[in-house]
Amino acid sequence: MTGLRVVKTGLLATVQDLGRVGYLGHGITAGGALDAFSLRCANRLLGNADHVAGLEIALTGLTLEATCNLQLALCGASATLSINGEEQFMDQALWVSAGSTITIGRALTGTYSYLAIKGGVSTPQVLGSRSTVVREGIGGLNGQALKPGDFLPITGLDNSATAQSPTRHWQRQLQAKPAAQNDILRLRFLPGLHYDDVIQTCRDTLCAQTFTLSGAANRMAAPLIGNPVDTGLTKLWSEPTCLGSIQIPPDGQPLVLLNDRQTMGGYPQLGVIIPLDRVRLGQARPGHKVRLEAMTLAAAEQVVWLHEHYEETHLKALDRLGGTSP
Amino acid sequence: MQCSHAGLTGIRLSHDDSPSPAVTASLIALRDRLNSKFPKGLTDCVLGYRTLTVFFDPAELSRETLLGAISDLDGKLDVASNNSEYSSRTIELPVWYAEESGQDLSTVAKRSGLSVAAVIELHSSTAYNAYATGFAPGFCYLGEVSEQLEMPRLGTPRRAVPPGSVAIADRQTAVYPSRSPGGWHLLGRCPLPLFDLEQTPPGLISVGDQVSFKPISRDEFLSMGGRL
Repeated sequence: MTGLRVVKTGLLATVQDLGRVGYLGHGITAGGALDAFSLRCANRLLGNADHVAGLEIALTGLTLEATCNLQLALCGASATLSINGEEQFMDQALWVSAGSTITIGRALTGTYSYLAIKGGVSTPQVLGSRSTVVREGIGGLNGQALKPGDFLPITGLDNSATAQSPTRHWQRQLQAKPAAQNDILRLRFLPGLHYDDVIQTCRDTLCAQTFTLSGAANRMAAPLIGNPVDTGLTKLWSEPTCLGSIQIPPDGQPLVLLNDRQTMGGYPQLGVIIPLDRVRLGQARPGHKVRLEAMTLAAAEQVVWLHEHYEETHLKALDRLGGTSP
Repeated sequence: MQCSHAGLTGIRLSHDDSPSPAVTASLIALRDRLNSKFPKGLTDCVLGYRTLTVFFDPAELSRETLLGAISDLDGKLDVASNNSEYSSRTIELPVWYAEESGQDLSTVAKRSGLSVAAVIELHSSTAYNAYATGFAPGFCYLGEVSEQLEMPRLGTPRRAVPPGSVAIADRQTAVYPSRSPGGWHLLGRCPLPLFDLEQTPPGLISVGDQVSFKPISRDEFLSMGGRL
């Protein structure tokens, strides 16, 4: 069997691709890499298509053993990476020979790093995606997070290839950098959903204070701690949630809904954070200071389209490195 | 119908009326019209109690085009639903109501001032409208439960309720498709699988369905595949 054996796990490592599309109406959440751009970068370095599944590794690392020769790349939160004890750079394609131990250490900045493998992790597809949603028990390996002893099959390998030393280097500074811990992270959002139904003081409290990212942040939501936000709304009829929604539960502490969110919610939602800032929030560490900032549709579209163009430019540059054998 | 942003790639439509089977039917009619008009442009259409949120792919469909189509359809659909363009399915779910399968049955009886038999009779003699799917895959919010059975949520949700659990909260009822945390009052268990990834759609109940419950015995529950 060609693939990777899981030797040691940390906080959370899961199989992720770009998520499930089209099943929200069945109560099935999208899931997918919290920082999709970093996963795409890692895939492109290897010549993989964007939707190919890799591993998302949260904060504390992961140790794997290769059962065959393979090629991999690590992007995202900056973490130490070593192959058989020898330290390697992130953001480059690496050749790994059968029997090698791959150790991803603790992230130094950011939270989620992404390991792509040439050909991709080929755990079964569920409703068009290999993304793991642990809460739903769907995707990945039996719907669960990785644990020691698990085996991850890899397909699309070129078995005749022999391991070589890394030949391609990529400049880390070209990647989207995680926010520095002492910066205040701006969370720009497009007001909407219940925004027009809440009392004026609610909109003021939301944008006039600095919140702190809670330690309870996970793949479902990033809770923010601050002065309680009173929406003035009591009972609402349950309705669909959005990726990046700012949801206000009765305690007034906002929750920013992320990839593994429940598809339906009964609390007010005041708007949706633009994708770029949502990913930065996902990569931020507990204790990080954040501010919410409302944007007009025109301004939000401009920022988002510009950023998408920026991402595409970088991915194209990575394509020139990936895809061909050295 | 009111319209608001649901992010850069979503539009939330909120019906002016309170939730009712007619509101659900008109939202379904709107969803189906939009889906057939933009088969590639819409990525997800999700119904709430009185809302429809549509998510679109901006590379395929512009916000302006979508909003234009929505305003063309608005107003025509309530009529359409009255003309029974949309007809709901009826689903009958067997339920083993007992203390053993629904540990809050006596609490609900006590709180509502009814006998356990009357609680079962009341819960199983109502036809419910499936208003929304969410919380967990295949979990469908059904309403409305008789006023006499209106129950608050549990102060502390249970860490895990067994799959198939039939429960009530406020004036809603539902069946938990899988083992999950639960803050509703449990009345019994349904032996049928509510969610199966091999089926299309994977959920047994879809929004807009009319659902009723039929009391069965412990033996029937077991013979229908229910597990203790």
